[in-house]
Amino acid sequence: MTLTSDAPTVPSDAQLAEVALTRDEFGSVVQQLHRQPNSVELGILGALWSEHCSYKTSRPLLRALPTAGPRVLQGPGENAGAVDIGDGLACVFKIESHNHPSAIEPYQGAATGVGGILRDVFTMGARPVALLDSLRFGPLDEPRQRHLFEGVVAGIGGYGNCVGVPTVGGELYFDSCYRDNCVVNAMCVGIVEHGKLMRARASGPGNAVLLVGADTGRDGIHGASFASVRLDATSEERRPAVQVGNPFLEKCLMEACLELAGDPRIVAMQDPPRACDDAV
Amino acid sequence: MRFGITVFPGTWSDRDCAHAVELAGHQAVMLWHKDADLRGADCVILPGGFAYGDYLRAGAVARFAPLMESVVAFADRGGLVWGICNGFQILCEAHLLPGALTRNGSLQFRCEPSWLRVETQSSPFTAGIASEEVLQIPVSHGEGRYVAGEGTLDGLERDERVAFRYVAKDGSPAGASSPNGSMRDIAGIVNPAGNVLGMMPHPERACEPLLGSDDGMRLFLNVARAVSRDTAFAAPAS
Repeated sequence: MTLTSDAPTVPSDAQLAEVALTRDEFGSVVQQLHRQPNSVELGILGALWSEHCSYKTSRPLLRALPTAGPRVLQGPGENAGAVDIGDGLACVFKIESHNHPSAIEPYQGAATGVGGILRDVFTMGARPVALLDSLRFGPLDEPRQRHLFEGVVAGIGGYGNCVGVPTVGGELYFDSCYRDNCVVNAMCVGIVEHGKLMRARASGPGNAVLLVGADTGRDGIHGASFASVRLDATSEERRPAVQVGNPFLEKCLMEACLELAGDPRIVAMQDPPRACDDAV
Repeated sequence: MRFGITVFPGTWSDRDCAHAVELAGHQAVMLWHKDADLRGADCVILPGGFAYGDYLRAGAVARFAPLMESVVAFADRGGLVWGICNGFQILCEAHLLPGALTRNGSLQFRCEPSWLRVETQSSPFTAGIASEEVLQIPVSHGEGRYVAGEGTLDGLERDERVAFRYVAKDGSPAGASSPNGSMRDIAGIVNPAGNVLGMMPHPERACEPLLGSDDGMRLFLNVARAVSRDTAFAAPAS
């Protein structure tokens, strides 16, 4: 797909496959837009309606979990959840999977999983204090599983070490059912004073919008929509869809965001790859 | 007394060091890498982290920071300079200490408890800690394997400049339990005058029994004792 604002045409099956949207989903787009989307719009929708951003498959399951309580300061709908822990402090936490990228590029896949989960917590204004992981692989006596396992462990260690947030625990299981699709879940926990808790929702006209972070490279393109695709023998060719991490820059970004948190001039803060307000 | 703690963009043990200093009952001031001012520090700590990302060689860029000129001059005047982890790497790159820190022998990042034997009494950092004692202080690094030429290593041993050696929990030689494969199991060294210490393990993470060990606190208290002894005879700072 070429990314131009060309005149809209009905996309081919191959074009839809590239943005990981079904023909039905495309129909829904046309119905809501009252016209055909152009190729840029189609690319954006592929990313925002992806498994990565909108949790379209797992959302019904996530909705079954409890999210309300007297100490819940922030339930689903923001970058991360927040719970009052007394003394004017809140514990902010979030868990996220990075299975697809880790299955084809284990080091960077796992490393950027850690990076993403950190951003979700510090854009809430909270200082990340701990990382945890929940990992599943196939039997370790298989060379490919060993490659995935060692890469994921190195990615978590390398990124966490550079950014300076300790990995304090986790869990690990091996079973043949994970042979084709390893599971890499990363969790981050942060601490913030109630008054510095940030939200992603901004309102009011005339606000300046600042987009900050690592340079956009040629890596990671279609990375979000890739999460919606079933992994198979050709997935290896999607390696460039995996983002390459830059933990040093994220460390700088974290310190900058934490300095800004609580400043009344900052209306909202948001970690970009998030689409839906009710994502969990 | 006042501990100055260097802060590069990628430093991450600065807050832990400040916490340890305050636990020890002293004052911590942060020293920004772009400033040359040491803010009246009696001891400068270079904490762990990834100074400027360390994508080149750990500490290779940091040695050129404006702050480092002041740190080198301070060390040359006999000021106490304490490099921990990335700080040790920076002190080697700045040639305040000999040798280099390379990838761990395992080629893996390691974060685990380590056991150290104090090897010298001739430095204020370790004076009074008996060599039979084994300190438990954690390591957390991917590039901590100390290497130097044979002549340098012999000189360090002869001049009692090996500050700490990795040992097994019972004090016997580390052998295969070395966290990084350092030459002669060296975990920390001092300069010829004994006022500059570089070490890979993190004493600031071993200052409270709740964290598994408070052996690191002994080093902070040692530094404070050395400074109060020196200033008792020196003229007040201008």
